[in-house]
Amino acid sequence: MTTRRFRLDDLVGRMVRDAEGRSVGRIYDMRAEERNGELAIVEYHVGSAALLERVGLSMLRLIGLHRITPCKVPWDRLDISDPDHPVLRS
Amino acid sequence: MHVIRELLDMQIVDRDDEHVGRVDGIVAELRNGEPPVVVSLELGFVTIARRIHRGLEAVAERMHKRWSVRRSARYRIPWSDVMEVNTHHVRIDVRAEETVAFDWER
Repeated sequence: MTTRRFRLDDLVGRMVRDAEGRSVGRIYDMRAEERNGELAIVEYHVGSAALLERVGLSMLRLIGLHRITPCKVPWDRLDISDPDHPVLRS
Repeated sequence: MHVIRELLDMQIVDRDDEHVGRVDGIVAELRNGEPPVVVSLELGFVTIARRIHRGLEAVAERMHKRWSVRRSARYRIPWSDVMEVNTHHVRIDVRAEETVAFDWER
């Protein structure tokens, strides 16, 4: 099995593009789960809604939004072999 | 857990509630056919510099070599040493005094 290390914070703010090069949105957060004693990244939160989610609920209420749902991309649908240029798999 | 919102920049404390520093970076491992896993938390001025701008990382490294009293520019805490993550801090199973973060205190 080949492994490679990278920094998760390098992914934050990176633009995700689809296979045709169209912009999907920027990565602002990612969700992780404990699996066999390891913390595995299971999905990436993409787009402006993800940014608002990171800002927090109190700020959202201030601008009149009560609930927003970020675009959640499962780990296996995002190619991060080049963390500077994440690509959405079709 | 939301990794960026709930882990990055979080205060790190040791098992005796002594402050160690903040989570300045998170290192993950990419494996074929498996989800990426968090392998370590990273602390240090060089890591913060990299987050601001990649070019600043080399500048910070040079500053560290010239002036720093710390043994290493970065201090990595393996994920296996993380005991607890809550809304206030990340608790690690290491004594703060034994870490590079405490080189300033010696």
